[in-house]
Amino acid sequence: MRRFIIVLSILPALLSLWGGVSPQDARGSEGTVGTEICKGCHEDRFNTYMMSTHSKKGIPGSPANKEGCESCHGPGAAHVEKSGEGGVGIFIFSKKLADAKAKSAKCLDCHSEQQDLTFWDMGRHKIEGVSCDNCHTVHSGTRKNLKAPQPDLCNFCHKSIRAQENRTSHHPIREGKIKCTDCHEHHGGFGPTQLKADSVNELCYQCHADKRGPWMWPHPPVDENCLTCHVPHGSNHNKLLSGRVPQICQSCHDSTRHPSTPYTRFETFQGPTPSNKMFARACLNCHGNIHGSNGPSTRGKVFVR
Amino acid sequence: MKSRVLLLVMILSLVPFWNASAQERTLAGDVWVAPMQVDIKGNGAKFNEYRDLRDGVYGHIGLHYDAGKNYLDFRADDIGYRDQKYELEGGRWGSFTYHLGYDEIPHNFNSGTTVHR
Repeated sequence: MRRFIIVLSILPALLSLWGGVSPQDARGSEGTVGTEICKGCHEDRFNTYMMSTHSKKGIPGSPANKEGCESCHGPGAAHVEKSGEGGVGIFIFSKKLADAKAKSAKCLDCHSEQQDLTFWDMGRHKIEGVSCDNCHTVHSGTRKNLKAPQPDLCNFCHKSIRAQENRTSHHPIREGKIKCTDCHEHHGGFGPTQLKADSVNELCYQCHADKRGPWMWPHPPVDENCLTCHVPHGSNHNKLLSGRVPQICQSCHDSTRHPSTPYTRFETFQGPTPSNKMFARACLNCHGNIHGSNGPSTRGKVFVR
Repeated sequence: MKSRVLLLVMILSLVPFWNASAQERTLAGDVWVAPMQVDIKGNGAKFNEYRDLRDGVYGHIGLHYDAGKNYLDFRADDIGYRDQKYELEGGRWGSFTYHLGYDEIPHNFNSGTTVHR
């Protein structure tokens, strides 16, 4: 392990000695006027552009090595000739003036070969009319040119998720320890929620490996889908459960032995013999190894401690 | 051991910047230190379920070093606490990137309570 860490730490230095791709020289094309002309009128926009990675000449193929502002906004000669008049071929990233497809196409002119954009075309965001500039801005020096840090950026649209994240039982999202993109492939992926794994369980097991098993006595819903009992973003019940124990257990266990008795206040708090079925962890007081057990014989079979 | 590895990583990450000229080099960032006094009324364990907020001095470092083709980002939060976080990200534009991170996530269920009371 120690050798592995040392090798890992040396790797960045070794990679840096690799020559890489040299930046292309700036070049002009027909109808362009150059960045300095744009700066003359749009200095505030120019200054924010200079803060972004797109202004860096060290990046091969960046706008700074092409036509600068005109790489994205189009040739500006006609715009300048008419003293800054609108509607003369300047492309503006605005909801009113361009649709999402056209705006994304501008970005994909350069970024189409980016590895994490492989599934952009089949992603939910594109289908729903989200464009690159909804989340990114070229005019800022923020990390990844994001308009806001996560989860605020995602929650701006996904308001129901924000409400769930603020519930009492939650993943450490609002504490900044988990980001939306830790689980979801924001640029497009398979499935309706664009998870970063083939299934919900495979995703959960990446952190919650102790729930994976294999078990001598598996609990079938655990293998099927973690979301049978849990909700991913937040819950008002402990352990991100979708309901309270024992009711959530009784939604399946309703026909055999003692779980078949409906647990109400009469069987627990008000009955002649108060039971433990509604107190503390309810069913889990005894059935502690609920995700699966390797216990011998019947102890394991019913997931008791 | 941990501190030696972190120091080694920091030094080796600066190797790419040897060849950069003085004009190309830019260093930007923010560093702050702030005292904090915490008065928790209610469930302290739940309040600190995934974090470590208590009386003390909290620090943050965020540095961005740019040298032409190469860049280096370093961020440190809640230094010395149970939820401390360190990130080192660097690379060469258009060629490669690397990201080294260390993030502690505490998970408090309860504090000072046993099954006997």
